Amino acid sequence: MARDSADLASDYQFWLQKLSVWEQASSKETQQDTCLHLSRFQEFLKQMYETLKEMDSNAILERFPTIGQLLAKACWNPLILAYDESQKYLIWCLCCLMNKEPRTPGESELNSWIRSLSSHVLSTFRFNLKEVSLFAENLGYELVDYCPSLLKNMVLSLVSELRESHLNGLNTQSRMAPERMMSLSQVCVPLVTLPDFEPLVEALLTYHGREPQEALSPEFFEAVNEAFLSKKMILPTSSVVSLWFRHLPSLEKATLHLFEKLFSSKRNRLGEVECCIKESLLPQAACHPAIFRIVDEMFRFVLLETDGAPEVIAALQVFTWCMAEALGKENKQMKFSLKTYFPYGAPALTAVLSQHPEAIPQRHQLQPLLHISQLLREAVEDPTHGSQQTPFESWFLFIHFGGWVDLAVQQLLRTEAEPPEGLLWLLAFYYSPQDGSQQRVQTMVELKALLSHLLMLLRGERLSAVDVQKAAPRAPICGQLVRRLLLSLLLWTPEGHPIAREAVTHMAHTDAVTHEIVGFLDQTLYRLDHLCVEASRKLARELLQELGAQV
Amino acid sequence: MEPLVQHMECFSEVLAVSCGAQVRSWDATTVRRALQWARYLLHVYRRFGGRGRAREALERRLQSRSGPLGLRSFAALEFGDARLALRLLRNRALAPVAAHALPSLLFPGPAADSEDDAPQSRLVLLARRGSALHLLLRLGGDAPRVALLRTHAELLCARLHELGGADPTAAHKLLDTLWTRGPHEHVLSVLGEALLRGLDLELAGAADCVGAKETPKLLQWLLESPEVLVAFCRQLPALRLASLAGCHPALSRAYLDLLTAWATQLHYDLQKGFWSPTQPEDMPWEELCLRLHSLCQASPLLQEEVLERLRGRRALDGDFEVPGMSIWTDLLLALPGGA
Repeated sequence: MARDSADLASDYQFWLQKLSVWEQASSKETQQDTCLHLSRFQEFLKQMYETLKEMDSNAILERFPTIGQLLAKACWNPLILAYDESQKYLIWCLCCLMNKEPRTPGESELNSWIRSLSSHVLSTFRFNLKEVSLFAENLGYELVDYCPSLLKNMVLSLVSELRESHLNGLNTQSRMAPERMMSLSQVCVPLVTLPDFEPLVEALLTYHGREPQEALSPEFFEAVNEAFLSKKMILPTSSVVSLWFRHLPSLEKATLHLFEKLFSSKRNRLGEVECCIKESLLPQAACHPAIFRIVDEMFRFVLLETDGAPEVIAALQVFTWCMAEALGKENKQMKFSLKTYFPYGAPALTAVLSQHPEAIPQRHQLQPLLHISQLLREAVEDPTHGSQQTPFESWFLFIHFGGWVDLAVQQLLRTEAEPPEGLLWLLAFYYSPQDGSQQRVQTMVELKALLSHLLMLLRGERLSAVDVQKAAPRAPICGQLVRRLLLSLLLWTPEGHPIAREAVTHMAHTDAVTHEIVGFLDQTLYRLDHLCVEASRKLARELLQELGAQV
Repeated sequence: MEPLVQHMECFSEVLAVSCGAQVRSWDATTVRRALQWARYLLHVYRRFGGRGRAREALERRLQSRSGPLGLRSFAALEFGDARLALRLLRNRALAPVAAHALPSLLFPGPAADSEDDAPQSRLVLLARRGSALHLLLRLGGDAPRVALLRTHAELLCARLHELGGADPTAAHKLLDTLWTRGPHEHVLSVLGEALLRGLDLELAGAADCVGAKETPKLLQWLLESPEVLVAFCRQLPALRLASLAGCHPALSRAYLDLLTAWATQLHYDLQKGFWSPTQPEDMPWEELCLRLHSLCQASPLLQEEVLERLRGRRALDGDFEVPGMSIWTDLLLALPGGA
């Protein structure tokens, strides 16, 4: 507690000094500085209120002798009064300072002073042309009556000015000068969360000027972004996209905000992940290649940082899918070529990958899979083929499009004959992209052996859970891939269904593995929801429910 | 209904005395009670706001009983608490015991934050909006003036609407008072804005809106007040007058009459070669032309009217075709379709 009070005292001095500086000059720089500090000052006011409300007036004056000065300076600063809840905290602090029962003339004086300061806060707006405000008085109206509609009309006027419409016969400059736009955007910084200002914010965001440089202040973009992310403000998608287009830090912040939601400790179902992603408006914005590439970069970074964490991969796949859906809905005349979205992928490969795997009928699925495998293999293993991509980049491109690996696994479990080498390579690459070609060949051999063993079990008398459990991972095949094959076997083959529960229970012997299985089931369900295959869906849902309860 | 009306009248009285000396005898309880009434009346406002007949009945009672300082209309119920709060905060005569309790009654603290009908959140919003206006005003430009004109026009129409049809002379009295108190320039601008707004509403099909219905009252007063009419036609910009004249035949006739009268004031200066004013306050040739031109542009009907008038006058003058002899000739030469 002692430390807190020392902090408060030094903060107090800091803010008193700041307020004095701000009140001296009302230049653009002081305004800018004020706007930068608004949210921190509000935090300070909050803390002050929490402290002051426990004290009586005299105790307050003893501890903070200059508090009157501090509060007065703040009350006379319109930017502070305009911001969020600052005016409320200021008034509350003033109320704390009131003497409930003044005993000396000095105390009464203080009360009187507080009352007039409060009155000032409530009617800070004084129209300069006195004769003109008399008109309203002659009609019997006071500021309290027409403040909302005057503000509404001010906003409408400014929006008209921005939108180049003639103002009712008055001859005005229809295009707003850049300095004026800058000042206007600065004024909006404390006020973006006031609902009356929403049309103005929208108009500023969607204004397309002729000048090459940005006409709006960066603090404005930050303020709007903050308000949007914390849901204090609702904006149409086009305005948000415009915001991110013009102010890169806001886009980055929005993406990080999404990542925090998705990758926090709590595990999210993919259905929720999809909701979060769609709500964030990032997929819609990412229809612009420039925006997509920045978000993609950030995904790439997180992937590297987390060593390819499955939830990140899943989120990336959902994101790509949402983006593709949004692209489909846009009626844009000019569609960007895939290359602009994925500059790091060979065009042929990108084209094949971006097809919808679900749309391909079963008997034709093998061919594109093998084609993908071939193209990837060329890019990864044949440096002379002209591709400049590292194996990681090829893998990164591949993992954007989730459906192909599922298809490959299904194909492998279906074919009675020799498993196609291309499919083996694809799986090996997906799960262990960093392997050298030697190691990969080994993996493929082991994979082939495992598959033939599984298929033999299927053809046998009765498949038992024990049989399945015995199919342990063989080096160098990674455990994840094995479990995926087993689970796919259980879900996709009729022989697998009866023993599924038992087998899964055996498999889920550690928390980590259970998490992994839950993730796989959830992902399968999510994809099935987009596909409608009932029997397997039902089983998957039940397994998920049971396992999910254990985690 | 009757208890409700009584509450309203009680509160109206309280409001009326809140800026005067009577508050010397108030204590914290009085203030608290007044605020409770205001809160109750806010609910009344919200409940009856859309109910035409009930609202009208309440409106009539208020108009008949209230003085200028009390509740002047039903709409005032919405801001009863804020109005009272501001008056009390400013009133030096308020008894000390009430004055000391006032701020905490108005701003109890976080507990009252979620109540949307308590004074606290509404006053805080007022403070925020007020400082927003202050900041936007500092920016300058045309927006403040335009916004203020529009708001005053809305207020004018709202007040006229509230006066209703009960007393036909009430509208005239109000407008006369406004004109007397002035400033004239502003009153004329507001009048023009209000008439134009009525026009826009009608064109947009919102003929029921407050504003559309008030236009006839405004026009009638304007046409019956010669001093105002002259100033109105002199001050308002040519385009705006032309739009209004295009939709109101009575106004277009009166306007044309004035323009013809002003035209007769000009004489031809042989040396300089143009029509110049006799007195300094006369309308110069260029402006006359501009105004007549705007009228012609407004609608084909108006154009016909203008040309007919000018041709008639030209005929009376002798039907000269040579410039410099008759102002009507020259005006016709200057206008589209006039030659």
